[in-house]
Amino acid sequence: MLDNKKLWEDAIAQIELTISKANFITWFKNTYIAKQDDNIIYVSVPNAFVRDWLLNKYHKTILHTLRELSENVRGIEYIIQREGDKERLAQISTQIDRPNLPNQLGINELYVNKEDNLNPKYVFGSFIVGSFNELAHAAAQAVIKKPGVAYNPLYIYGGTGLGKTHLIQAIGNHLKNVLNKKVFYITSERYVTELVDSMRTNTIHLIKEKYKKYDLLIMDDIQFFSGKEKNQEELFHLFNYFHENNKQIIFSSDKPPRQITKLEDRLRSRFEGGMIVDVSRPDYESKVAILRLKLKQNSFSLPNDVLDHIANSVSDNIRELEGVMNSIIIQSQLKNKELTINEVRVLIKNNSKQKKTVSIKDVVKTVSDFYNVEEKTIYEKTRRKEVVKPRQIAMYILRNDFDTSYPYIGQKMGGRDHTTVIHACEKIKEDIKKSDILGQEIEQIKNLLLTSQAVLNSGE
Amino acid sequence: MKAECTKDKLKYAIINLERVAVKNSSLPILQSILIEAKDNNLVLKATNLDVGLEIKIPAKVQRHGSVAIPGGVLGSFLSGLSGDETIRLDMINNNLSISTRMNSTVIKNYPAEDFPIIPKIEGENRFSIPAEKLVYGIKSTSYSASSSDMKPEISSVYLYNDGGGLFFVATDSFRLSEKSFDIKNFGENSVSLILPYKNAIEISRAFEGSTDVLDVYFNKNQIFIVSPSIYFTSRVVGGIFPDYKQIIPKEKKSEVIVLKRDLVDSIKISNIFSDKFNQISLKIVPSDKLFEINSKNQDKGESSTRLEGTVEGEDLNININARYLLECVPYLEGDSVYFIFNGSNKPVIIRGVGDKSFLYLVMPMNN
Repeated sequence: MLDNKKLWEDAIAQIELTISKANFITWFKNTYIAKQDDNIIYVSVPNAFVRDWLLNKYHKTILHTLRELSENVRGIEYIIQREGDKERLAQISTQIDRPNLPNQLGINELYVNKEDNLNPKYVFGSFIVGSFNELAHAAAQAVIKKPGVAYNPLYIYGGTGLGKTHLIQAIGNHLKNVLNKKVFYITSERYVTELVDSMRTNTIHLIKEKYKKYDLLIMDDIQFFSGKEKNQEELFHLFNYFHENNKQIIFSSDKPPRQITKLEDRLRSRFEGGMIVDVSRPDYESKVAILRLKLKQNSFSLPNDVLDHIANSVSDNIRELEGVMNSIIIQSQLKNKELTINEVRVLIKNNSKQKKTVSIKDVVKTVSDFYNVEEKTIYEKTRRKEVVKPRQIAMYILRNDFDTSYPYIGQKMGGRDHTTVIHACEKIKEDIKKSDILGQEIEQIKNLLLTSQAVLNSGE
Repeated sequence: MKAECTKDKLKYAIINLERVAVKNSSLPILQSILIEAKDNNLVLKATNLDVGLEIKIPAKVQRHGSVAIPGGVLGSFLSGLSGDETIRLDMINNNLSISTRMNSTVIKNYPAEDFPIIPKIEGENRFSIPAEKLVYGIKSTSYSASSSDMKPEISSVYLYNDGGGLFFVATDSFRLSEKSFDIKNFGENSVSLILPYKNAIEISRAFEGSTDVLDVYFNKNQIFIVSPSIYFTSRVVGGIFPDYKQIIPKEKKSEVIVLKRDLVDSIKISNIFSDKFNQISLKIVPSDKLFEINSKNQDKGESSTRLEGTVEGEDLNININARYLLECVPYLEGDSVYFIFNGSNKPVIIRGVGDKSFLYLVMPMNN
């Protein structure tokens, strides 16, 4: 017997030829064969109107067509499949209908606790410790044992998707649930918005009072304070209050305090006064451990060689690692079978971003465009001031961000000696420390490089 | 087909049916109204394949038959026709001819046999309810239903019975309304029906003004509502309506009673100065007997109104969507409104003083 889907597709393809398009769409849309039982075909229809119409007007045609395709069909029954009975993909995205009322609270139990902004999902139990984050973890444990005393402030920094937020929220959840402390988690962006709003409405004293009632303040992504002087001043006062009263304060950022530009010195030195720890990129073993934990949470399993492949080929970002894992789980649930290593390979290729390849020529071109000098002068032996600086910056970027060797840079940049390159890199490194502007320029150039690269990749 | 009827009865029926008929369908027959003449009645039908409506009007039938004509054309024609007259319907060359004392018109028709079959009553579950209660129950809740079709269970009005009577409920997960009637003639039947809210609104329109007692039949796919002159059927939604009883708070931290008239006026004033999300804030200070409604709009200005009333419990500042408040007011019985608060991010309950049958619950907005 033919399978249901094929049989019905063939049947309605024939019926489509005999009736008008509008009729066909109206009466045959969302119909399918639900089951075949004892040579009776059960056709599922969306409502009673369609059932009655098919039964009265098209029954003979349908029966006739089905018999031609599958000889032993004895009869057809029409059953109504209601909306809501079907397994709905939409249920995954139940959050969709709330957006245009940003402040409106929903009746559903909200996932994030509004009083302290802590996400209960982030606890130490689900935090994997490896060599890349054990120092940060140890510092967090010390803070839990002696909040406000051990390391105050605790300053955690590291690249995106490495678990900073997880770690600091886990401290908050622990202090809240075990020690019954009043905890408040806020991203610095939210804090700044609150401050600005309160300045406008002259209610800044309310904000100050609000924060003073907490025992632990966690502020995420504080690099956003860069260049916001008035906000830095408020943060400074808030910090002093917490510090004087031996209340714990925790910061996270994507870079160490000294690298945050346009940060007032008194604030910078306070950030540096406690404990600064970094979270670096996970090693292979940690990645596998994270994958295994993720599998356990989803009650799912994957063979070791697949895990091994994921850990090796996904870059060092844990968030990306989890993303790949989720899509593998969903794919295999959808296909209802275990994915082979080749399928996993394709998935990873589609999911994770491509490793970028940048040629020396690209860098030189971007830098010379940025400083508005002719590209070829960079390679020439001229020592004109307006050419020397871009040339050194190009060397610095090639060395620092693309790990090119000194001799190779020298050779490509018009046959220079490797010591010239070393000197250039050292000089720029020193200059960055002295001048904020140079640092920003280099950031901009790097961004330009990355975006032009993205265009190139998609163009291929 | 050949028949005579009064213009007013025909017009009333056509206006109701025209709403149900599809406006622009790829299948033109769905835009039509079917007129059937038999046994001293005209039965007029329209459907959009989601709901079906039939209205019966008395007529002098000389020859049986049926005809399907475009609802829009017939509706516009009848509303333009002046005078209270008898209308004669007849068939000329397979088209419908309509003639009055001063006018004669021929309207092109569709093949009547293409008109969809409106499902007949199936299933043994039934109960009866006065039309005005069914209409009022739907009207006092349907505005709370979610207009998104992501979740059909809550884009609906939920009807069910328990020991307390017959309940109507709707929610979009930001607010919820519940209306109950003391109807207990269900016998062995238990009612649990989830009606798509658009269809529920069609029910309330179709039976608006009727004083009949309606017989309601239902099975797991379809509901059928019958009065002596109107027959209505709609699909029902599968699935389970959320267990909403659990979100209604039992405790109360602050309560306020104010005059409905005062409340409506001050919310309307505040809403002029609310932000684009209609946010207004309520301030409650029981020690000062203060109940104040405030709003602030960066571009327009700000406003603050104090209301007189009973204010008890804890101090509170709470932000609420003014539109959500106003929508429930027409269905609050009595001249005073009773608020129950439980803190600034917990649901607010609103009732009419002395009226247990209606409950409105609304979630506040974040600061």
